Amino acid sequence: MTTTKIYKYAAAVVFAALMTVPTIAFAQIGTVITVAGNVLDEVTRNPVMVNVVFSDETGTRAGSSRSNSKDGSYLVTGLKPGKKYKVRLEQSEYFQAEYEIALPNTGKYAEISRDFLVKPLVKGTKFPARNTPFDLKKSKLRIGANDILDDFKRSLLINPNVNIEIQCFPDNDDDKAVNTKLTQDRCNALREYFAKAGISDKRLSVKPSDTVDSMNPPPIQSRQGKRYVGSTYFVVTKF
Amino acid sequence: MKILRWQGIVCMLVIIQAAAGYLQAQRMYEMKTLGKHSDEVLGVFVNENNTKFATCSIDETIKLWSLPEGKELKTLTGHVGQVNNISFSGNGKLLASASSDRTVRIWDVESGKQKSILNGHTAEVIGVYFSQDANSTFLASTSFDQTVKLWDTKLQSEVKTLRGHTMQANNVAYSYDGKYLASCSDDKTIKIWSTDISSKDPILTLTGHNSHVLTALYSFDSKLLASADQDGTIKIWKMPSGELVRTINAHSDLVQDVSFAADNQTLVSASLDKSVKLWNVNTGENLMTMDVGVEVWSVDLTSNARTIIIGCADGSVRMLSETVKGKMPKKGGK
Repeated sequence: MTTTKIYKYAAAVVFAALMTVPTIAFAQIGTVITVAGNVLDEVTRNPVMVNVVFSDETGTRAGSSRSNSKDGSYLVTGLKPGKKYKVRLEQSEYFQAEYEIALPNTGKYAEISRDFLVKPLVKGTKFPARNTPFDLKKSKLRIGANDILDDFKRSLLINPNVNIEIQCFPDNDDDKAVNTKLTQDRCNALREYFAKAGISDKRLSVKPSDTVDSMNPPPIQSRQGKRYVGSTYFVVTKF
Repeated sequence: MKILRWQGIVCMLVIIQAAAGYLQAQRMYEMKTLGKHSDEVLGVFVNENNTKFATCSIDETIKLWSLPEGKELKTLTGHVGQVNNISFSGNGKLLASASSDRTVRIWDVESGKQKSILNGHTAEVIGVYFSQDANSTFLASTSFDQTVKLWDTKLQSEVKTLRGHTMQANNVAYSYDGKYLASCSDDKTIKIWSTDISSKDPILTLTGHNSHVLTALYSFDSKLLASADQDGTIKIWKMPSGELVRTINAHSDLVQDVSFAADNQTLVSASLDKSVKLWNVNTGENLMTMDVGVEVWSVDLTSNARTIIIGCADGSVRMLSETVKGKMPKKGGK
């Protein structure tokens, strides 16, 4: 091997080595995503201190944080782009809560935001349904009711010791007998919905009503065609 | 005697000239009903090139309409709560909707299909506004949870949450240069935020409204911001300084919606006092008042202000067409 050849060979080796350094470094560092947000009490909207635990699809813990009691803020970093995570919120005075979060598939560092609500575990606490799951004067669950009820359904599945009372109110004060039948049927439809999801109906009691909800009454001057559908509540009776 | 006669003639001429000027400034419109939602119409948005507009309603639907015909094209369903507001993307291909079901949904305008659901707000979503930059995939939303959230619709991800309002956040708007967001709230303020991802505190807080601020909107040149409140007052702010330029006691009931024309000086307002009014924001002059006969929640206009679309409390969607042509450049949407 001539001296020139040796130099050329050495230069090639050095070049190859230099090229691999950034690759190795990139592979070691990788792209990460940070998730930050606030945890709030669903009823009072006050900040809550809870453990926020991220697990990957295999159930392996990927990161955790304790939210700040002053503002509810938390931050979890080191998460992988394009992956789905289960977020578990734990605190003894609140329902355990689980959310799924799918992180964007990005090639560069990203910080994304996500707030969470937790339900206080207090007997008598009344949680209104996010929207009415019924159509006007109907007792059959409306199209899209699953979107409205899904959050509470998941809460009951994750918290098997919690019992609730389902309260339904009518759409007007016209006929008490009709209202009792309507709201009993609505309560039963909801009990059936939760039971189908695997929640024991022993955990579910019902309370129909023959008068409209005094906490959320129909508008006094209801315009023609304006819809008012009676409220639905889930009340904690035991935990 | 002669002097007095001449003075009289001059006075008459001045009066006639003033009256002629007033009549010239006044714009005349005729109204027709295009169709109906089955409940109150809360939002109207005209797209960038004035070929379509969208309406949203308490009836949980969104409707797409053609312009200038005013023909109903599609009804978009999927929300499970009233749809409070809508916004076309800058290129007009996407539509975003904000709903009481706590979601923002993205729709493909051509097919009418729902493309994605953005979950993240913890209460009803009230306002939504796409960045009007045709290449941007960002939008902003406001909610009863008091936050403003910024979303990347391409990544289908919440990018940042802006906190600062102390009561429910009612509406939000991008500046047309894409640099700022304006949000307004029941806390009687308007907050100006940078759209820069790393910035999380408001740049400015505009105070001066005496009641809940229901809407805020930038002019096309991003040099003015109009805000309207529950008392029916409209304020015009110079941007980016935030200096108050003008206060207009515009209506006798709340003003939920305003919109600029492309000339950056003509503003339309709609109110629950059952009227729609057109203003010159430079002078504060009222250019048109139309008694609609029913409460009006929402309004938008084509860029030349010759067509105004309103959404009414009786579910009707109405078009106001100018009967005498004005002189306006052709450009822009809401």
